Amino acid sequence: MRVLARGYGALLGAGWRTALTYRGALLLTALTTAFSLVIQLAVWQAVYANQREIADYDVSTMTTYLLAGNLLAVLLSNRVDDTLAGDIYRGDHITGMLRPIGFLGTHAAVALPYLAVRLLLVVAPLLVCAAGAFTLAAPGLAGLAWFVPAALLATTLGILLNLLVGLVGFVTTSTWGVRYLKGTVVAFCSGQLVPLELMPDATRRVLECLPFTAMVATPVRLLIGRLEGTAAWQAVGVQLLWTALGLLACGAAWRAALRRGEVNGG
Amino acid sequence: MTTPRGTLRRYAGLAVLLTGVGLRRLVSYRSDFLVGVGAFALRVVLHALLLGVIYRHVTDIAGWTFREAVLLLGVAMLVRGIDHAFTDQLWELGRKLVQRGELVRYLVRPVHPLFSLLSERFCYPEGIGEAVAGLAVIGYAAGGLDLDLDPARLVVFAVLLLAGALVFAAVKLLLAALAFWTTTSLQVMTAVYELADTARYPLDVFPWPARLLLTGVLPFALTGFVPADYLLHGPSLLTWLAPLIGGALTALALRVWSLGVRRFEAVGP
Repeated sequence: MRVLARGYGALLGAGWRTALTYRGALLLTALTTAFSLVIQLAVWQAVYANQREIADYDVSTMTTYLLAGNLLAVLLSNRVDDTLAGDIYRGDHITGMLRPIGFLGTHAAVALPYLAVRLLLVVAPLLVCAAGAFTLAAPGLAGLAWFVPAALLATTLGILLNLLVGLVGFVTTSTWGVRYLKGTVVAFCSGQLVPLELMPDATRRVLECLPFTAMVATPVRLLIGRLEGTAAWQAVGVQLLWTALGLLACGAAWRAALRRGEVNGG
Repeated sequence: MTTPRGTLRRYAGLAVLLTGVGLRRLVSYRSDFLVGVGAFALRVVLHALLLGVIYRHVTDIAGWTFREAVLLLGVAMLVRGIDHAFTDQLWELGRKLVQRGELVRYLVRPVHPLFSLLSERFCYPEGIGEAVAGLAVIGYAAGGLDLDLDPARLVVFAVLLLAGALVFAAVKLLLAALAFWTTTSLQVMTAVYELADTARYPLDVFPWPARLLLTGVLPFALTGFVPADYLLHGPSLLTWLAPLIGGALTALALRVWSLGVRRFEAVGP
């Protein structure tokens, strides 16, 4: 147990220092996220030019939804798929397996300080700037209280999904296509670009059965008070269920991958 | 002494040969390639669906109807596809060719180094697919619009499409060539390319600083809005400026590339 704690502690420290080393990349992430938000919000301002509400969203609630959704999406980008697939491509997973801590756990642990740095240096400053620049719908205390655990679960789901995508490297060697597919599907199906309430009923019902809505739509709807009481408990319960299924899927995929992987050399 | 015609024929032959080599390399990761193509097709569908979802609730955005917005989306895809099909290898220049010194292998070949570099991904299938999908989307949108499609208008439209593709290529070359000074420029390229998505929206919806940026600094408005606006609403000042801006930006990018190549040093092939 102590070995595990020391191993993960060292990884967290190293991950923190590595994440802080690439400050220029963080600045670019902040700039592109900010510009992407400005574009989306400008389009929606034009949409709201001739009406007050769309599907019970007024302009300030929509702005809050898009802001929270896009900032949460910054925390879903954790590089785990890229680094894991890279290790598999080079055969480095064999070296990783010699360590006294789990290989997938290593990748997940390195993502945590990376996300913490993104939270501090990208999400927080953008949130402050946006709060000054746009009229937002102030969330209630209950919304904030629900949002924190839901956002943590969403971030966990982001890591689990990326672990699964990275493990595809055992099948396809190059994973660019799969990662591109994942990015596209998550952006649209999670409700990051448009609230699910605006979609046709049939599409919305299908999307609500998929795990992607638990990654953006659920926490943001909790934040703006769209899910309250029993509905809030149910939504977080579904997030927990997807997290448990994600853990099981990662374990099963890793065991299957070990039977398939081959490495030359020593 | 080689005649210009002979040089052209030689370069065309080389382009075909190296395109074949590039395609064989690409399909060596078959399943990932197929997933990538499928993901790309899905992205096109989802972009159109997103527009559809927004237009379920409004009749127009900044005066643009659904069909007009779809036409704009198609034009932006077509222009991006033309660029994507011929200059995709520039991403490798920004990513690793300078950093690892691998660019040297393009400099020792008996052809222009930029041609040698680009020809590794000539007729890139994803770019061709994007252009074809863009044409299909334009065809769908045009079916419900009363467009004036006389030959002169189509010629100007084609020139604007080429100017837009030149803008894309020139911005990409400029940013990739930054790697000669900064070792790698992939992150800057990726960041700036995020802005290229603005080409899919009417310029009128953006605040003036963004409009200024998208026409005067990083003129991505020329890669979607300007050609589509011309087709729908006729000429504006930007219609006539677009070829000049595209040409000037290309000349600047080629100059920066030449300066970069001159300062490039490698330990050997």
